[in-house]
Amino acid sequence: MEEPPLKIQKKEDSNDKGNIGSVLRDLFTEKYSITPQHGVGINTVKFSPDGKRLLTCSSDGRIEVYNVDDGKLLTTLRGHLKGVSDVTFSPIDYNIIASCSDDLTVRLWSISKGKCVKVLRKHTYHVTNVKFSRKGNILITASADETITIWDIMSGVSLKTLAAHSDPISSIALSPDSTLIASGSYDGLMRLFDLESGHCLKTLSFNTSSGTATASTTDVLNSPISHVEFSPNGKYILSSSLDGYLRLWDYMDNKVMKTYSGPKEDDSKVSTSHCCGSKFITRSSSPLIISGSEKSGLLFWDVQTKEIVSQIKKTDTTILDVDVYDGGSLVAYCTIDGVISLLDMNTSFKDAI
Amino acid sequence: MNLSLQDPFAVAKEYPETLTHKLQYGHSVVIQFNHKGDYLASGLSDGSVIIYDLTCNAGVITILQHQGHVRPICSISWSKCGRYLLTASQDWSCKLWDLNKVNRQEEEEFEDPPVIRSIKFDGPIWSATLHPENHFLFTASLFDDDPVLVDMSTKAIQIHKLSTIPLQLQHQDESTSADGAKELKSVKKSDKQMTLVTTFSPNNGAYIFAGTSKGWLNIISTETRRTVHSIHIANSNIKNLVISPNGRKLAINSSDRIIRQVSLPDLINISDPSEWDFEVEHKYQDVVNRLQWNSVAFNHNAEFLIASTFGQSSQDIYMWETSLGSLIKILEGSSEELIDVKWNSHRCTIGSTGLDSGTIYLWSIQFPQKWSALAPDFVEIEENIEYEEKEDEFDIIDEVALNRKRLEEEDAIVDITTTETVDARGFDTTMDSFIIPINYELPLTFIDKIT
Repeated sequence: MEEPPLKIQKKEDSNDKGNIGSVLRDLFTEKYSITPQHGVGINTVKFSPDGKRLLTCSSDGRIEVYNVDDGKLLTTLRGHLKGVSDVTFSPIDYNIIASCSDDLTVRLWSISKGKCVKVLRKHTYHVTNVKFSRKGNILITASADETITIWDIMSGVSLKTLAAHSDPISSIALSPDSTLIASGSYDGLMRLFDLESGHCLKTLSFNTSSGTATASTTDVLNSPISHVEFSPNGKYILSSSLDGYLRLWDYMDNKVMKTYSGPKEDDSKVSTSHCCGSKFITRSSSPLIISGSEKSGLLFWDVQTKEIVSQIKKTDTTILDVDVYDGGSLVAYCTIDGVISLLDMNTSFKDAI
Repeated sequence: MNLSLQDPFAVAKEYPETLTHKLQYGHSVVIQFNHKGDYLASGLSDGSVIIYDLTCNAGVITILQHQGHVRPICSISWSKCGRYLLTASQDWSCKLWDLNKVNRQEEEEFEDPPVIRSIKFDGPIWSATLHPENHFLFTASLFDDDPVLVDMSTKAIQIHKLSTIPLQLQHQDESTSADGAKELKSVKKSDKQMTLVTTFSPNNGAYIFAGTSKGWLNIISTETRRTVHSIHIANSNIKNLVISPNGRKLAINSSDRIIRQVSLPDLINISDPSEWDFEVEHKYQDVVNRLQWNSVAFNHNAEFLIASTFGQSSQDIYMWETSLGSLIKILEGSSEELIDVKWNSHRCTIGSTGLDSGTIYLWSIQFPQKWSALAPDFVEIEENIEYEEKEDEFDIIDEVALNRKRLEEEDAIVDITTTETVDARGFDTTMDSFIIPINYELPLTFIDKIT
């Protein structure tokens, strides 16, 4: 595997943030890049909880498991008839993964056996997101059929269906204690559900005009939410919306605490048409937010100052998902044209522990 | 975290009021919540033990059957970490289960079974309780025999007998022995009593509390295994001894139909046992119906005491407030006599088992669904109010300027890493508790047996 030199785009335009991209330019070094099949988009990339495996799923229905150390392909899991939107490791058994697909099914797989061990059917349209609860016995799936379903894995029955959104649900997140589900939908709303009771506890929406924010009214346009993520302590929610910005919400207060925008030369937008994943990095001396973008590569913001402190851009392609291990010691991302890359945080930037 | 978004009035409730769930798998005779309150172990009359996951009211996590008991379970005790479970059964044996070894392939379980220790006694067991800190140490009360302290840390299990004779009578024995063995024998015979219940003092487990058939309460040091203090509490059998989780209060249920609530002295800081003072604060009894009590339980801070009632005519759980001793609530809803009763403070749930059907009844707090949560700009109001139009309600605002202003205001420091250490009810959320593994590859047919 060749190691292409990493280009960190330096911005020399004379704006007020003239030195962005160079503040932490050596933050990460690329370990390797893999292109399993050029042109077949990789939708999700996930580290196993022990940081040894890398899990990817692609638009042609394949799920692949790689060795993190050297990028070697360990297993390919086939079975989904259409593209796979999301995959995730079980938090208690790293041999088990769950996947969801456009073929309307949710599947559980055993990596060592290389086969599907359970198929869950109930959704009536593309399943977009899948998450395990902390104890690994409950599965939560979000779908373009506008519902979220909570499954009991042992019995394979759906415990609850949460139907409150009025457009496809693009993303769900679970609070660290697995009691809250945050969902983001194309109807522009983020809702918080109680996993236990299935009740909607809160609705968050951001709209530019001062009028009513409910989706039912037509005079206000809410930009679709493309990704939601809980902060490591569960007190804030990071949302990406297709108006091109990332927002950090204090959901107790219904307030946007920070807004993160893309680089100036890309019209300050992160993404307006693709759902790009985002994550928090806590191993660096000050916490960062990392997100994929439509054409600006991988972006890193300082949580407090909202400035882009680093950018990694090799091509103009869209980065669909990122994942971090150990608070950001390792970062993996995947692109729409089928490239998976692994980055290593340079030790000099790691917070001394 | 969900609690902080729920209706604060519902979260602040200290005890549950409504019967919300019934769990029915087999005939449950005894139940026990783990310390974190997210699992419920249920002992069945056929000797198997079922563990339910309480989050999301999901179903059965595991069934402990392999190499398990063959007669009804009589007591269950969780280790503090939640990984080990001690069960006692009417088949005269006690078993210690390692829950990390459950839910595996059959062959694996056969080679390395989840039962890691098993002890067979010479007679029936009343109850067995694990030490709060050492899961290889337990105390048990035996039928027609002295209570025991069992050390299972090595495969060679050591059983130590503890004394049933109260401290005061022990001294008598010594003094009378000089007068002759004959006299001693007669004294002993008339005073013959059995230990019916044993339990550890909470927190450090330094003492064992034992209740006898003659109403004596013996306190035995776990370290020296000697009786250090004895008091005569009642004149009849002590059926239950329950110490509140915070170690402040003791409830003694005896067959004279009275539950005595005793305020416990500071067992840790007052080192001389003779200075301990046990004061009966309240006596709870049903004066009208003269009901017997089946079993009793405290909530976490000993503010409330609950008891299930004996007899086919009563199907309720009585709840008293412990500072004044007044009856505040009768939990209803079951259609049969209730036997075992347990309080799960973390989830504010009370569980009880039914005598006839073996159903587990759970009373908990129901949170109301607020419809205003679905629409962020709506509020729920008590009564109609005249709407007053705000002065700037229909002003045209320059959005560019508004957005710039919003962005400028975002200068507060956000802390994304520091976690809360207590939940909205004041419980420690940092407590680590064992997560029982799951066999994901188990065929779905296994569950058909349950539903």
